[in-house]
Amino acid sequence: MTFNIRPFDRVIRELCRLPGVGPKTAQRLALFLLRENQENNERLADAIRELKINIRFCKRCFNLSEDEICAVCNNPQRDQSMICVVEEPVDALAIERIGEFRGVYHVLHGVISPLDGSYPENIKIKELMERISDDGVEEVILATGANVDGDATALYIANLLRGRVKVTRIARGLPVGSQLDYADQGTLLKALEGRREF
Amino acid sequence: MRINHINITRFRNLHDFRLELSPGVNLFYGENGHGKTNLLESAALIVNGRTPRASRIHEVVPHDGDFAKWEIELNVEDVHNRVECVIERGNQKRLIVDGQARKKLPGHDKGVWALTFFPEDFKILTGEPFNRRRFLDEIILLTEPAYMRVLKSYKEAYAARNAMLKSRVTDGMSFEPYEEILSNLGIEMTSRRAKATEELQNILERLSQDEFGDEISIALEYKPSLESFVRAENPVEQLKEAYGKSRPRDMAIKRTMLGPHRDDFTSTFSDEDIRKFSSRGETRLSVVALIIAKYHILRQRWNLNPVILLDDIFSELDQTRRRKVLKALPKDCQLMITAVDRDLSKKWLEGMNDIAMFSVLDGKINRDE
Repeated sequence: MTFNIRPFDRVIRELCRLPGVGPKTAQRLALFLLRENQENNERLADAIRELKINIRFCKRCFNLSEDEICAVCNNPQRDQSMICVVEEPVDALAIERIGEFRGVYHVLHGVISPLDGSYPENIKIKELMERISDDGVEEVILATGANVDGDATALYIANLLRGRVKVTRIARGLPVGSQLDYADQGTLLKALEGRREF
Repeated sequence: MRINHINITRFRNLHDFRLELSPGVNLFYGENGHGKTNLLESAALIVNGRTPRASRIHEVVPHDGDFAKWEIELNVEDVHNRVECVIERGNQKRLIVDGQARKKLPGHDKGVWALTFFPEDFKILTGEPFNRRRFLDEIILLTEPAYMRVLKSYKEAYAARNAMLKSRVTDGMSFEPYEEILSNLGIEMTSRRAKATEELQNILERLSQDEFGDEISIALEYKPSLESFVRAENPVEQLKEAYGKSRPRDMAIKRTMLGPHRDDFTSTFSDEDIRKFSSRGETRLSVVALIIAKYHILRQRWNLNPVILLDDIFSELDQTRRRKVLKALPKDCQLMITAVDRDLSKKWLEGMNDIAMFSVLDGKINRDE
């Protein structure tokens, strides 16, 4: 559905490429932008334009970064001997938001998933191994997803690291603040299996 | 639980009637093709969410219409819920509980459950092995809903290893994670299925002793694909090793051969293999016995009374066996039964409580005066 007004349709088409945005949403967004003042739109356009120019992946951990080495890896306060391995930058962001983790990250940019054609060489596992031989790493925390692909990726890395460093896997169980009877059975079972002495 | 009434607007060939059901036995009689089975299916579809009959839910939309719509009133320990189901051609099934749209009913752990027998259930004993695996898994799921996670993860890991077998990957390191997951889950599935078979077997033996009499003995034997591993000292480790060793063979055929996805169980009637030697009547009796065993397992686990829907269980059975089946049916559950002949069925049901008879004719159902 188009209005045959070319600049407007062009914005709709471009917005449609974004994940989670369909034609309807794109239309609404385009209309919003049309009503916005020009200055705000310029800022948005600039931000998008500079995104790819100014952001790259940290050479060490492959997280998003403005510099060659990201702020986390460069921070002398962070414990370089503890690496938390995550699937995507958003996962590192989620852990960073807690504000408690003092180690550094390693972003795999995916998981092993043969059904999707993703194998160990397609994600940043080799780079993780190189880091471990260089850095004097003591512990690797595997924080991949709690599903078959996430587990398989964690197992693969754990097998590679066996005997070289301490390898841990994040626990799974109940969300904090949740009520037991709302938890699904798989989660509840895992929480029960992972119980600790009080 | 029981069903107070059923209100059919359109469902397959059924249309426009309302039935008050008896809390005891409800017998639906009529010629073939007039809609007896369809009525049981309509109840099962709402209560259980599915039946072995319609493989695609839209099959219940009448050929000459655009939608199916029907309603039942559930009574679970005197709490009444009106559940309406609407299926429009090309749309998702909609459930409306007391006027509110719902994804599904609370399920058997909350007392909502129908135990069904449809002729399609013959496949459990006479069909391909996957029917038997599914039957065992259903039994386990009834008592341990969390088993679903095991089944789902196994399926995913199995598909992943198969994808890898078809790819150019050959290094053991890449296979090992999935083989470790398959080993853990495979041993877990095998031991749960073994336990479920044993439980079924115990109940079948008790049924023979108490209800069926000695000349009817039905026995099940679980045939796990991983038989040699479950008895090993460290089954998971041994299985992992076996997966490693089987890799060249599996790569050649591009499929994982080892694991509970190849399980089966054998069944015997008076020591004869049911698939090879049993008559239709004996097979029918055995399947009904399995369904009754299912009831007992549920009863033990959740202490509830499901509605029991039995489609045409009496045909092909001789008089003695018919009587035995009737004797073995749970006494404290609401029954919905179909049969062809009114007077004969009435005679068979003699001595049972609260019997209501319904005539089924050309898509209409009426309760006898």
